Amino acid sequence: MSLAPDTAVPRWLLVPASAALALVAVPLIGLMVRVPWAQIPRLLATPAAQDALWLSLRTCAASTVLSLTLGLPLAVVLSRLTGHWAVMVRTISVLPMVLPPVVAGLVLLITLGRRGVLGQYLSVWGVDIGFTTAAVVIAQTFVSMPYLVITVEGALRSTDRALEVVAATLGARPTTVLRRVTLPLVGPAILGGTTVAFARALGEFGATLTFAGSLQGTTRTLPLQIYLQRETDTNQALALSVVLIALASVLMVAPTLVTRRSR
Amino acid sequence: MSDSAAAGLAVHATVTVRGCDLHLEVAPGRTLAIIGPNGAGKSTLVGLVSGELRPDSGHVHGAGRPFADASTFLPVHRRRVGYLAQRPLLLPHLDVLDNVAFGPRARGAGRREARDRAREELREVGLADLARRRPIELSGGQAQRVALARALATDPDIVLLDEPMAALDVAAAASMRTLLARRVSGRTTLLVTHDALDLWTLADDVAVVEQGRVVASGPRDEVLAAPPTGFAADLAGVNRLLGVAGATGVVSAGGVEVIGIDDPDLPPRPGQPALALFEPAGVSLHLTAPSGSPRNVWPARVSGFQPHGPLIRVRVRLLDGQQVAADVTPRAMAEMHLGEGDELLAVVKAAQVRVVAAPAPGPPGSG
Repeated sequence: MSLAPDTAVPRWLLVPASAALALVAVPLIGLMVRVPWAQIPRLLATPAAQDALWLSLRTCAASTVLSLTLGLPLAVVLSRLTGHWAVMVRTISVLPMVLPPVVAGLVLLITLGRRGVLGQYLSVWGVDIGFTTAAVVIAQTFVSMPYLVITVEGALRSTDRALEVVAATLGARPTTVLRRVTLPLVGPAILGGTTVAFARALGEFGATLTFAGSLQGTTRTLPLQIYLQRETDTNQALALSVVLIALASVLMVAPTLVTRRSR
Repeated sequence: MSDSAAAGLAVHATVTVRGCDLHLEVAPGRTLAIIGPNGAGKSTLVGLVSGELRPDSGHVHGAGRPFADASTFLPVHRRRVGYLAQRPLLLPHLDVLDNVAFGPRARGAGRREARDRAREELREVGLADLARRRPIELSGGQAQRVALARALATDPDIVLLDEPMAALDVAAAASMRTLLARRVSGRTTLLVTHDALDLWTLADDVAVVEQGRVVASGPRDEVLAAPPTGFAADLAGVNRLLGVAGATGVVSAGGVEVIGIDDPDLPPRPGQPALALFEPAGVSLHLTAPSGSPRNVWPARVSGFQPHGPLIRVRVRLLDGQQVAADVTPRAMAEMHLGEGDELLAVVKAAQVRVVAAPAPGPPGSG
């Protein structure tokens, strides 16, 4: 590891830069020191841990599919909007990114919960969303989809529209242009946005707890299980944290590896 | 030739926000070059034909089909217009072969059939061996040839060339020009250009656009023989002074009497608008009046310089504001200590000035 010679930076910059790195790295190292590595297989084999792990993977997979099927069209439409409406629609679309998760959970509960603004009518038809696995998926999608939308929309805005026009002159219908030109051009952004959305869903805590509660096997995802066990069974909480860190690291690295190979 | 290729292209349309009211027609199988300064309406015309722009009124017809009129608007992908722009615009995620096969595929051909057609088109532009390259691995000239192959692989009814050589270096532009001359001849083609060489190698007809209007159009040699605008004269490489014809060989223009020789093919009529045409090489610049054979001697003021091969093209403005270009050697220019705004005399031998009737304003056959 070395600094490239042609990108010289003032030496003093290395001091705050190192502090920043330490802020992130030291706690991670702290965890690694404390984790009871030998006991990890046994800790992860408990029913509560297994339930949380599988629930997290299932709900995150579902919310990522939802984010893609709904978020991609939203990103494409947003990238073509101009004017005041565009600003408003974009603000609404990405608001969950800056919303405190507990507030996100609360607005979902108030709207879709059993006595919620919409939920009360859904209840009449026998559809109860609150405190079900579906609620977990909705909470995760609510919070994570904006990451996909904003990543893809940004990439779409910087693509060359002239390429789409040329494709149209060659006889490609709008759907063909979307499928064979527009989306392939932002392929790396879709991949990146999807993994970030998945990672964000995996870590979802506040909105899930508020909207979906904490029922083992139904709504108690990994982060909820870790929070629950942090004092009563610290070792299990640490073991599950290692799993989350490992998953997150893989998700961070995967897109760059895939993109590099396709070059 | 199919039926659709038997009809040409007709544009009679207005685009209000751009202040354009454009009327022109391209005869079937001919190439019409559009020339005019920036902002004159050339890109509006391109948009009207490609389908990116909707006319506010009027109509656009291509190959006997309505592209746009009061009741229809054919979207870009249904016009069968082969479009080649300044940039090649190859799709970066597809290789060369699949770029060329894109059009046939989009029009419903199977993968194998589309690729066979693409190989054929690549052979025509001499790049069959680059089929598996990525666009990023091509030179600018190669990429533009691939773009041409791609445009022609769809058997377009109309070919739209929007300054296709403007971004290429001289050598690449020359071979592209030769290739275009071969591949486009016989197709109904609209060519937007800034380059005189394109006119002489590619165009059958020329239309001159200025301030949102087609101010003249017709067979190339006729239009350039009596350039209707200063811009057209520049492209044709001649000086053009607009004035009123007087006695034989005389035009009052530039605040002075211009003496020249009437062109027997386009004789000016006394009292009617006439053009005095002469080459920049025939203009000499002097600080004091020269003596000798009968000459035109006009007071002028230097308005600009630009390199012109080994010479320097000096632009001077006559008393009435009309411009004249003079090609002088760097040495002559240095000896005269010329600078912008300097007053001097522009001198042209009468024998070098051709006097013609000014073309009537407005395009023939418009409306």
